[in-house]
Amino acid sequence: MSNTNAMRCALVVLALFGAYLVFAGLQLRYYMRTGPGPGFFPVWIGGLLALSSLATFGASLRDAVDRVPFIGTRDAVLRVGTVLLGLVLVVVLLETLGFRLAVLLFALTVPWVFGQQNPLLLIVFAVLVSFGTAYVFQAWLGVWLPSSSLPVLAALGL
Amino acid sequence: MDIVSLFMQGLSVALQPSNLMFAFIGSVIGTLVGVLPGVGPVAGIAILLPLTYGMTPEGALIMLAAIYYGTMYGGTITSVLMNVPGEAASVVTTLDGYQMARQGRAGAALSIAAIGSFIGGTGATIGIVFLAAPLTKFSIDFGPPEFFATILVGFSLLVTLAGDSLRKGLLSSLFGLALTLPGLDPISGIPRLNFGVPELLDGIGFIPILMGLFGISEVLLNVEARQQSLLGAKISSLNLTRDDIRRSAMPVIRGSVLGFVVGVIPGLGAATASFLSYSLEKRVSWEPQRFGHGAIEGVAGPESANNAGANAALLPLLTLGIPGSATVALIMGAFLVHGITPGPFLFQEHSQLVWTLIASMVIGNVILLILNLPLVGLWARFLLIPYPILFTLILVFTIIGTYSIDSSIFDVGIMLVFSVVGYVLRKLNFPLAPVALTLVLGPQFETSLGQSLVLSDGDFTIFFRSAISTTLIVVALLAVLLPLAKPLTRRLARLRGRDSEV
Repeated sequence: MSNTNAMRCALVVLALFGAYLVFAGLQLRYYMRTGPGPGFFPVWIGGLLALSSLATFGASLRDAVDRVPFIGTRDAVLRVGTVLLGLVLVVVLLETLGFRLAVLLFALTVPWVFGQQNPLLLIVFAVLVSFGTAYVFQAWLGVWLPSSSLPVLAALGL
Repeated sequence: MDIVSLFMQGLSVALQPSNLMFAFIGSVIGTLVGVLPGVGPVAGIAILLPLTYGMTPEGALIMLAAIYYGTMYGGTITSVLMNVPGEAASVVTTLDGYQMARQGRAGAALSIAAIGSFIGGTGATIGIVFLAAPLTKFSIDFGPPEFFATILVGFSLLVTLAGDSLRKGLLSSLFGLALTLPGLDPISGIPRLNFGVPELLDGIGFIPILMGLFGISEVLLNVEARQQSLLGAKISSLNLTRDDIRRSAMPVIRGSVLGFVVGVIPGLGAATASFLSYSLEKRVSWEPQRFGHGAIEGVAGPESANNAGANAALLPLLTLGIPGSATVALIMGAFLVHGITPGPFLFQEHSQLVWTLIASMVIGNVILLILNLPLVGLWARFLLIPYPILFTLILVFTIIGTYSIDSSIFDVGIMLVFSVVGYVLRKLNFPLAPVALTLVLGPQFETSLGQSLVLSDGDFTIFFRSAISTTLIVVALLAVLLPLAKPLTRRLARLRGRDSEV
C-alpha cells in the first residue's frame, strides 16, 4: 500500500469516526436550558472532524501521488508485527500466567528474535526484568502486579 | 514579623538534620517515581502517604512535597532518553529533548532540563514567599469563564504545534478532543459514548493513550527502521556549550515566570504551563523551524515552566485550601491527617509549619539539582544499550506503568491500540503534540464552558464580563489569526505586485 493510499484510508476512518460521533451525539440532548447538553460537544467535534477529514481527502485527490510504500519491506512488516504480537500475547496472558511468567517469556523471546542470542545474557536479563522488577514494584513500591489466575501457578506464588 | 524573617526562621527549621533527611528521601523517591513511565506523582504520594502518619507534620509534608516536585525532574529523563513521557507535564519535552538525544546530545538536554527545573522551582518558591497575598486575590478572581478563556489561549497555541501542515494539525487536535468525549458528561453526569463498557465510564485514561502514542509507537518506528541503538550519533560532551547556555537563558526565565503564573491558578497545572512555554518559545524564536528537531530552547523553557508550575500549585492550597490537582489534593490529605487545615488561616495558625515547608522547597530543589546533574552521564549512557534489550525494557515498564494506574488490563489494551494509532499517525506525518494538548486540556475546556453557561443561565456574554477573560479571548484570537495572516498578506502583496506590473 502506498503512502497516499494509506493516508486516504486514514482520512476515511477519521471521517467515519467523526460521523459516528455526530450520530451518537444526536441521540443525546444537544442543548439544555442552562447550556450545552451531553450531545453538544460530540456533534460539534464529530462534525468538524468528519468535514476536515473529507476536505483533506479531497485535497489529496489533487496532490501528486506518493507511491512510496507505507511500510517499506516485508522484513519491516514482520519486525513491527512481531513486536505487536508479543505485546498482544503479554496483554492476553498477563492475568492468566501472572506478571512474572508473562514478562519472562516476553523478555526471553523478543530480544532473541531480534538478534540478541547470547543465552546466558538473555536468561539473566529476562529474570531481572520479570522477577526483579516485580519484586521492586511490589515489595518496595507497593505497586500490585497481577498474579496468575491458574491455581497451580498461584500456589507457587506466581 | 516581616516575610524575610519568617522565611529565615522556616529555613532554620528546614535545615535541621531530620527535615533535611526527609527532603532528601522525598527528592530521591520523587525522581524515581518520575522516571517510571505511568507511575506518576499521584501514585507515588498515594503509596507513601500512609507511611507519614507516624511522622511529625513538618517531616511528612516536607517529604511529600519533595516527591511531588521531584517527579517533574524524573519525568524528563524518560522523555529525553526514550520518548516516553514520565507524566503529562513531560510530554512537550519529548518533542525536542528526544531529538537531542538522537543527535548524541542527551547529556546537554538532561543538564539544561535539570538546571531549568531548578531555576523554575526555586524562582516559584521565592515567588510564593513574596507574592502569596496579592496572588491569592488574583486566583480568587478566576472562575469558570476565566478558565475557559485560558484554555482557549492554550488551544490557540495549536497553530504553533501543528508543524508543517495546519490541516493535519487541525485533524490531530480534533482527534485528541474526540478522545475526551467518552465517559460522563461533566455537567449533567449522563454517560455518553461508553459503548456499554463499564471501564469507559471514567473516560479513556490519557496516560495509556500518551504512552501508546508516544512511547510504544516510537519503539515500533525504530524496530521498523532496524535501529541497533537509539543513538544516531556518538554521545557528545555532557557539558552544555556556551551556545547552549546563550540559547537557553531567556527561555528558562520566561518559562519560570509563565509556569509560576499558570501554576498559581488552580486546575491549570504544570502540563498546561509546559505547553504554553513551548509555544511561546517557538513564537519568539528567530529560528522556529529548529523546534521539533532538537532545539534546546524547546527543552529549557518547558522544563522551567513545569517545575515552576508544580511548585506554584502549592500556593492556592496553602492560601485558599484549594487543591489544583489530584496530586495536590493528596498533599492536602496529608495536612488534614495531621490535624492542619490549609486555607486563609494557615499562615496565622501554623506559621512555623508553613514557612518551614516553603523553605524546604528551596532546599529540595537544590538537592534535586545536586542529585540529577552528576547522574546525567549515567542516564545518557543508557542509550548505548543494544536496542532489542532497551526496547524490551521500555515496553515492560510501560506495561507496568499503565497497569498500575487502576490495576486494569483494559488500560494496557488501550495503550496497545493507541500504539498502533500513534505508529500510523507518525508514518503519515500527523503531528502528535496537538493530540496531547487537546487530550489534556479538552475535559477542562468542556467543563469550564458548561459551568460558565450554567452560571449565566445560557448567556454567552459571561465570557466578556470580566477583563481577565476578555483579554485572554482576544489574545487567543490574535494567536490564531496572526500566523494565518502572514501567508495571506504575502500573497496579497505578490498579487498587488503582479497587478502593478500589468
